[in-house]
Order: sequence, then structure tokens, then C-alpha cells
Amino acid sequence: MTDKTTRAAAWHEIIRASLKANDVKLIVYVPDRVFTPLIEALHADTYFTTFAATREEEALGIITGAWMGGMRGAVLMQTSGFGTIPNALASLVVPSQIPALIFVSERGTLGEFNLGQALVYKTMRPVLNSLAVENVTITRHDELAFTIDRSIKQAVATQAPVTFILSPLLTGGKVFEG
Amino acid sequence: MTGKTTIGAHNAKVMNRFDLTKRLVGQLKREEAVIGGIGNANFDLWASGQRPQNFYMLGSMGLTIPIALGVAIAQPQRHVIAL
Repeated sequence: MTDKTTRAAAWHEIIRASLKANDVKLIVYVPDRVFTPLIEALHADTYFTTFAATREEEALGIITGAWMGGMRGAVLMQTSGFGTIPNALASLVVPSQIPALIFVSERGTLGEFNLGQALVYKTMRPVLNSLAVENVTITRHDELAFTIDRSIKQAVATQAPVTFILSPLLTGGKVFEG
Repeated sequence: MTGKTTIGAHNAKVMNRFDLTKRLVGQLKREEAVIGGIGNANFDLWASGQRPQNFYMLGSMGLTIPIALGVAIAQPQRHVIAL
């Protein structure tokens, strides 16, 4: 097949390139099946310092320290992992004006089979909105590069975090194979 | 010798956290970064003399070490201390 989707750069390649173009060198993640190609691409690229954290709030703490030391960082997690970070956002990242780049692989919708993901899915955007944390949901491949690039620049310029919610419409999501 | 501050047969004195923090801060000569943990560690750090290289973490209990690790990753030449 030679359709458009096979010729265009994969979503994870676009994100890797955007991070690099914006001098984001530190990547701390909690493993996720959907994000695996992105995580592997980041590990393979020596430009980045990439490693796993035990919990999502720990990842936020690490990139907070890195920002204070002059290095830009991003964290990667899945929707249920977001459930662990509201306190770190409310007491550290937001008041300290850290431009944390938070990538969330969106679970709990469009065919979810795991109830734990579905519940956090329902609370994630209300939490982000109550904290006035910028959040963008990306569903379209053709809007991905623009959205990531501009949002990183805004986060740094305004010293505020941004959350990228990557929809299954973009990534393919996780499918129940039972 | 005061009986109150000795423990057992080793004559060990009880360590005072504030004295220790003051002593630590007094030893800092190379713009070391100090990340103060939530609560008393922060109060002692503040009372030991404020420095621009101190960060007083509030609220996010458990993240002192991750923040210190982040600073160390960004600035490998700088010594970083987590309280």
C-alpha cells in the first residue's frame, strides 16, 4: 500500500523532531504501550537524556529541577498516571511557574477496556482546567507538528506548563485483544 | 557532662537537626544548590541564612530528591544537596 499515512512521518517522529527543535533534552517517562514507539525513538537518539521514573509525580519533580538548572524537560505518561500528579501540579509546577511539557497517552475513551483508565479519563480535563493548566487534545496528524511546536514555545515564553493529550485517533490507542 | 544528652554506653549525643543544617550551610562555598524538603527541613534551611541557590519546596511531599536529581542532571558540575 502506498497511501498517505505510510509516506508521512509517524506521529512519534514528529514529536521527537519538535522536542529537538525546541531544545528539550530531558525526557522522563513512566512506560506505556501506546507511547512505546516514541519512548524507543527518544532512547535511540543520543541528543536526549531519556529514562524511566517510578511514578509520574517523580518525573515532574525531576524536570522541575532540570528547568531550575537551565534544561528543558518533558514527561510522558498514560491517562491513569495523570491521577498521581494533581498535587505535584498544584503545589510545585504551577506556583513555581515551571514550563513542564506533559505528554499523556489518552486512555479511557474510544474503545477502552480498563475501568481504571476510564475513571481518570473523566477527571483529567476538569482537573487541568481547574488549575488553569493549558491542555490541548491532538487528534489530527496534520495538526501535530504545529500544535507541539507552538505550545512548547508558549510554555517557555509564559513559564507555564502545557499538557498534550494524544488521542487514540492520532496514536491508534490500545486495543483489547481478548 | 550532662546525662540528658547521652545515650547508652557510647556517650553518643543526640544530633540536632537545626545545628546540623546551620553547619552544612556554613560549609557551602561553591554556590551549591540546596533543595529544602517540606516542613522542618525547610524551616531550618531558611533560618540558616537565605541564599539564591536554595529552593524551598512546599506541598509536593516526596519530590525533594527528584528535584535535586533534575538540577544535578542539568548542571553536572554543581554540587546539589537535598534536605
